[in-house]
Amino acid sequence: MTHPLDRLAPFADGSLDPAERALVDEHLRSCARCRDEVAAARGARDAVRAMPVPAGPDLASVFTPARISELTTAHPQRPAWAKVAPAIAAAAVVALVALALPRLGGSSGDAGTTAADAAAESGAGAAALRLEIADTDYDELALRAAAGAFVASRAVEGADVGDRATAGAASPAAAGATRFAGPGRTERAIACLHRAFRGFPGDIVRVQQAAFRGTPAYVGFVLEGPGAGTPPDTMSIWVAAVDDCSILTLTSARL
Amino acid sequence: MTEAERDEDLVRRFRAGEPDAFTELVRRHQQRVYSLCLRVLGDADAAADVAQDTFITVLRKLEGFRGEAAFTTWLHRVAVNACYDELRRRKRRPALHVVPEEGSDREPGPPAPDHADEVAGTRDAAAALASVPEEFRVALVLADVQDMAYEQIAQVLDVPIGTVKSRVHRGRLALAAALGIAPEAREPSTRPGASEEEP
Repeated sequence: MTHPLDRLAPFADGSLDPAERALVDEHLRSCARCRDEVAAARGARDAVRAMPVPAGPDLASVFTPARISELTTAHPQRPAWAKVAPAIAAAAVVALVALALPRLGGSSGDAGTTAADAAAESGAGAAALRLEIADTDYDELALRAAAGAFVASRAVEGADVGDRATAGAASPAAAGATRFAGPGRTERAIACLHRAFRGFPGDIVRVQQAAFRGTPAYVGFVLEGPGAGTPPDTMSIWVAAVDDCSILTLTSARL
Repeated sequence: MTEAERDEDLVRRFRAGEPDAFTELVRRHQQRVYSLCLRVLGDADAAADVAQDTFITVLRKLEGFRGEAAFTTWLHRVAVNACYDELRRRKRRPALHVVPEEGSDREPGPPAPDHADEVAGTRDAAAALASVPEEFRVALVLADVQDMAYEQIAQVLDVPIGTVKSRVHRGRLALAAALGIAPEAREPSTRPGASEEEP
């Protein structure tokens, strides 16, 4: 017996034309196996169609005309979500911030070394920001400590930082300690921070999803400088609500 | 901008220098792209990421879009490829993959007591769907979630239409088996004439 296998899918969902449907009907009368398959296929189709699909993210609010212009004129060799990362955010700087973070309020002691791992993985000088998923629930004190720790870490200079970053990256204990989100989610976090802090100067060099006083928040670590190639002289931490990208708080420290 | 305006008209306006035409394309298709990604990937956060990546890719490649296929067909092709990329990334780098499979911030909230069975059923169905082999799952999702015709799925996947029908049928049988609604466990590929490449 020849089973009409190429017709069972459209037969099961009713898209087969009447003439072919009659042929399959005829076959099914004498073939229990195909009857079973059609019944199972229909049950599966019904089940998958009954699954509710939650509303997805409002991407139209991400793809604003300004953002579209930015994405289409940006350097094609850099990933889209790295576009907001400035040249100043070289791997050494990322590692520098990473080294400061383990001392911050409640943050995992492994966070810095695995961030350094990510920086090392992205290649020398690459500024590939990735959203870290942190369990930290910050308050004002913890953020001030974060800014202060970063300023203190500025005493550690170039070569030393590089060595420490490399050592951190090589530590097996650090592997996998920090969870990272994908590029799309990273971009949304950065876009949210830029929306909240529109007009504020500075370049995000590290971004986390954490909480601020119990409210889910994006936390951006930002370097500011006078521009014109002058090194940054201020470190800020931007905190915006995940839900509506409103400003939750801001703290700064002079470097 | 009206719904009556065709996607291809919006593409043309975007290429003529009107970025808000692309915003409209995103607004129009974002939920369908997200649904596809969610059902193929089984992970709400990853689906949101991949949906956004899809539109970034589309934005960058729109200049080269010649209109040989309908915009929706091309969009689905980009989305399916982005899903495959994400599935490959998971296999390659499991340690960095975040898997908030259920209870993620984009899934429905905590179930009310009178909906508990329904939510549990959805989770069972999601887990069952995730167990369907990738190629079959993609075809099944395009057919049964996206409601696409077999001809269009064949264009999206760039395979013969017979292959599409075969994948959809196998996908449904695999899903039925995972849900426990198959009349008996069978291996579809053992059937005579069940070659996937059958035209």
